[in-house]
Amino acid sequence: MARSLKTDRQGPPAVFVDRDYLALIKQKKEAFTLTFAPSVWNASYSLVVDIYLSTRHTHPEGHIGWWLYHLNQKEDPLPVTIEKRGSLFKVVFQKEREADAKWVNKAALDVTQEGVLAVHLVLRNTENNALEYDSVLYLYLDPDIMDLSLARRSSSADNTRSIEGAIGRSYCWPRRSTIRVVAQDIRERDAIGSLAFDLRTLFTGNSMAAQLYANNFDPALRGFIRETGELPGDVRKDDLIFYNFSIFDPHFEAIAHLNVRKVMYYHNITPPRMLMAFSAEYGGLCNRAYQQLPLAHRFNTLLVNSHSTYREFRAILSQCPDTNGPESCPNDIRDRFGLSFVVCPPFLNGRKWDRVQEEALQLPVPFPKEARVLLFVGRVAPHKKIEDLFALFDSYNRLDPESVLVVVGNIVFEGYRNYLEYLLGKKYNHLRGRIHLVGDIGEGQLKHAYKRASAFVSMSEHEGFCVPLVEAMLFQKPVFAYAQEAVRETMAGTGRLFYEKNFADLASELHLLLKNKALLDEIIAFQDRRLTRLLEEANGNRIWQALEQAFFDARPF
Amino acid sequence: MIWNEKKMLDLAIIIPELAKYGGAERYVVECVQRWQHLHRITIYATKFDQAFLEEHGITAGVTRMNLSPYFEGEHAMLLNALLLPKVWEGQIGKHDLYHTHLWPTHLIDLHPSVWFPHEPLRSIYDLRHNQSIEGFAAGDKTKFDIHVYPKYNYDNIEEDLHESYLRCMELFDKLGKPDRIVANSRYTARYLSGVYGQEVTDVVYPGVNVDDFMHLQSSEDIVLTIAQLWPHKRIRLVIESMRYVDGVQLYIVGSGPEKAKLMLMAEKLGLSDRVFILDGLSDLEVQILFSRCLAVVFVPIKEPFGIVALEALAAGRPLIAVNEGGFTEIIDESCSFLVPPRPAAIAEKIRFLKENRQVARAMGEEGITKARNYTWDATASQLLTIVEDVHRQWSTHRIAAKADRIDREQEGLFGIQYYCWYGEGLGSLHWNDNQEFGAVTDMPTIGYYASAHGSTVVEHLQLLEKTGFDFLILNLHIDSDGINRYELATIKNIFEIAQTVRSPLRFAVQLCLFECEPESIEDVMKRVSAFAEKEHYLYFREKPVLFVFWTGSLDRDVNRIKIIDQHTHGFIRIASSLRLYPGANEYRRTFGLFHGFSLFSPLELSGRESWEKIWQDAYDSSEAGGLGLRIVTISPGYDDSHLEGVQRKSNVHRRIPREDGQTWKRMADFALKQEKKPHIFIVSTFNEYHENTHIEPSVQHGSRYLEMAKGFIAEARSKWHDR
Repeated sequence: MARSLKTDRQGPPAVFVDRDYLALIKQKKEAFTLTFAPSVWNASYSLVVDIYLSTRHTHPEGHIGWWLYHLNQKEDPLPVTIEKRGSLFKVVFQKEREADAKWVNKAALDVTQEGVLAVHLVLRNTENNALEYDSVLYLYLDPDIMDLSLARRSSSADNTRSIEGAIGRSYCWPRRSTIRVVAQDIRERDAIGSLAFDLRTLFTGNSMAAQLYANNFDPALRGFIRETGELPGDVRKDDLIFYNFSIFDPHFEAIAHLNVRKVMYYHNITPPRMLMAFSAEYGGLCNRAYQQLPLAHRFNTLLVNSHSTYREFRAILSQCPDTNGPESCPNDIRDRFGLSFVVCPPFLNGRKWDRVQEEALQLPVPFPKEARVLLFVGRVAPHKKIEDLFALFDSYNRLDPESVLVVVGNIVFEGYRNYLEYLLGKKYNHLRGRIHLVGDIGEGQLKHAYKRASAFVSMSEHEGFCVPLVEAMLFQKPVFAYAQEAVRETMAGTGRLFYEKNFADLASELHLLLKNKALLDEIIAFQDRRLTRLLEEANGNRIWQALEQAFFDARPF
Repeated sequence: MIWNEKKMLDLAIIIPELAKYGGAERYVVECVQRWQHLHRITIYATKFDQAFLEEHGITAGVTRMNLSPYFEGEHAMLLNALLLPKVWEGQIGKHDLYHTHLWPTHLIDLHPSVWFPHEPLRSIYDLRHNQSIEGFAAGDKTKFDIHVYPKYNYDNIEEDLHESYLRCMELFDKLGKPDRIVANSRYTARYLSGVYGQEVTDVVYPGVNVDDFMHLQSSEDIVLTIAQLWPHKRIRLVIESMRYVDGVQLYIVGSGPEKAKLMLMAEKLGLSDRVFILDGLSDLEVQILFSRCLAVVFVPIKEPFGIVALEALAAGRPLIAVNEGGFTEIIDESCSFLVPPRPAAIAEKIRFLKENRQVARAMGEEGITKARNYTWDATASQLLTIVEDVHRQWSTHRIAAKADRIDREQEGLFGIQYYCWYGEGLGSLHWNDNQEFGAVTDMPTIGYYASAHGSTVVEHLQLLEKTGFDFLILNLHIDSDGINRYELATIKNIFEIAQTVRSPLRFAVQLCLFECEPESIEDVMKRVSAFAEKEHYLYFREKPVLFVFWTGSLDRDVNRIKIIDQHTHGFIRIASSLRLYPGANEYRRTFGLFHGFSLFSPLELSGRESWEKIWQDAYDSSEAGGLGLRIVTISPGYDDSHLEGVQRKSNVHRRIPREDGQTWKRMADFALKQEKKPHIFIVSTFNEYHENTHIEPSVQHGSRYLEMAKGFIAEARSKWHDR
């Protein structure tokens, strides 16, 4: 059956560049060509080439300059040249046209120390000056840094790797078909980013062509990861799109309307209410994600990370005013396509830790050898309730004065970081040196943190699955966690969960638990059994099942 | 703190809603939190947010009472402005003082009262011409969007009615008579003085808890504004200012009907990725936003005070604000920029602070120092001083009034039985509406009047005042159907009219209990207790007086008497007895229920040959009542022979002719010859036409008996004045 990729849905304005990176190492000029998403020509836009030091995106300290070019008439493709004259830069358009407006930092910055510049390709709406598109292209100035970066990219793109413990597919896959794995953000050590990388490895390791797409990613990996806006132009009729949904994506509507086979992995949306005080912008994107969710019905198969997430998914759709008739709800996906949803843990590489080289945790003040370590791993974000971890630890430390709390994870919002630091400086100042916010650390240090931990403690009030719980089980650490629905599901009656945040009581319970070896052994034994089951569920079989359903209309057994 | 040494007051705090975090609500919770252990407090509101109260430490010891909710639908605005406060008035119990907040609680006519309006109803004054009329361009019917705090939605008023509505509300607005008005700024005090023509001198600024805020050295490129989303808050200007500032986000905390419009505006301006409207935040979340922001922008039209400005200072954040409104009294250039209400002017200051973080920090430090002068402890203390002062003044006034009453008590009080049951016109209630008990044979000079009508009441009050009476006994009947609602409504009118015309007369209720249920007694006494709170209720020896029509049918009915005793506790109870009450034996019949006894109808007790003896026996039996009151009753005659009630037929004394005034004179002489001065004289009756005991000017008797009563009162006063 012939399929057409024609769609009346245009994606948002976007700029595509014909290069994965730029370099001004020996030469003084670097030329590249831009093309534009069709929607750029439906309104009035200016293109801004905005250059910063890659390590300092602040004005004016790290700002090289910006060059603005009015896109008055359709100039597609548009050649652009960046010239370097000493420490000054210049950008010209259409080979020799000067910018329509520009700002160049007169305090010529010393770029020789900076191996890489970040070239932002920006679209601004000329009617209201709104910034509607911003993408980063690296401009290398140092050959060594460029080589390192390229080597990292090659390593990521190595198609010979495979996922340890994963099983192979049980059906033949057409060679003409490419699986295009999409997420809003793809970054290393992020749950969705890790899954995206592992999915690609799973597919390529099983001789299937795969390509990653994202709106936000490490610019060093450009090319290995392509911009989501490029997907509609890349996709062919026999391809399959594997879309990871967790937040608003301006391209989602256009992708949902592409006439190809599609799988949607719904990871859940963080409730905006939990984020608004710390990032209304991010919370707003979560809010807008709710509005996009009814388009799920345009996907052939729905994957979710837990039953809890699926229930949340249904609840959101039932409240969504834009839900357009019965075909929008997941039950009708099953009715219409004969498919049901698939629950699949959001990780594949459960056994990777064996290969990770342990490294000592870098702390300003090392904690005593015998100290009990309470560990939390995850995004340091408001819904994870790190402040409640502090409160619990405050009570716990009174019972066990040598104990320490280690919080591992990227602090997502500046406001939340400041809030936590304020709490540490004021309310919990007496715990300075005992509470360690170590940020985003490498896998080696993380392995050390897990091994050193006495217990994994979580106060999180919203989760879709919570991969660190599995990691804690892998390292045979007792889990002491707030009984949020998805956490309950992941733990499935193991660990020690609590429903009320009475910190003094919890501290007392945790203290008794950590002193009782027999009880601890029992908890670990139960967790081990749960882990075995989870690793089975995450062996790739459910991914294969979802692809089989989506691509071949294969009905579940 | 000297509060503990003072008497605990029973305070009513009345506020339309206590469910959100507006300025008025903040005053209430912060004050109640501090007063709750000093006084007994009852909060009245249409809506409570339990979590909000708990968050502010309001304990269960503070009573919460629900008031009727706001009207919705057609004419709701008018009903809410005029009717609702009166509905609330009826729902509020008796308290030592009524502290009301917001508009239109000043129309609740309970005293003593302290009204804290926070602002007048601005939509009828300074914002009268600032109302949204955009519907004029779009809709079929042109409508005004009027906002009345604390409602979250607009009242949509059709153009035809708009002016009439506002004029009507303005008229009624002026009728409120709170005993004291408190303002939240000098600016508001001047405004209120201008509106209400009453000088407002009490200004109590709000407070702020500086230590509740997180004082961070760093700030993000965020501008914060907090306001409900109404046009006069001018959020539009703040949004528009963002066009002139790059790289800064605007957080708007608030909700209201303008939200969708403001969001659309931000989108059209290309600012939807930088402008955010947040609502439903907790205190902590708002404090977090203060700690994150670079500056607070506050540009409403003439804000009465503007607590947000004070919070900005407390949070250590520079304030960019318009140079108008109450908050300008507490700030200066060390902590704030006062700008004209122009987007570019606001933007210029935001840019300046973004580029001069040190200046922003220094301004923040100055703000904290200033904010420390405004604490909720001080606010609560100042407001309580005013509340206690008003109560003290009221009590002093009451004591003076009491002293006046006591003087009059020494001379003997003159009262008259009064009936409130007549409908308008012959054939209506009690004007020959039935033969059993409604037949009449005479007609008042003023015609067959309606007791409830104001004109009737005014005429009667003037007449009785001129005659020299001190009080009226208002008969209220309760039977198996419950309270006589018509009489009750009439009595209510009488109290209100007496208040309006400043009548010197006082009034006591006489319960006429006929086979009624205990619930009815409880119900009627709740209402009588409310009347007893009125200035015009009759007090004797510092207690309200309650007459009880006593036929003797309940004699020895211990259960029923116990119920009456329980529900009439606190009153001086005087029996208007149809039977004699020998002092030595009375206790066995009424178990000490009554403090005093009087005869209701002395002419019916015996043949005329024994009258003086019978009356003297009754007069000398004052010990039958606990207080030993000597009460003498005078009637002009008695004749119910035209009534067909079965019970009446057995009365052998049902026809006692007036004998051309001789019957009255015989009784008056009896009274005047008493050696021991009577405490109370009662004329029975003013207007009992069924029994022809009336002395009201009538067709048959003219003003003769009223004149005789006048002469009698004058003579009696003269006789006993010097004793």
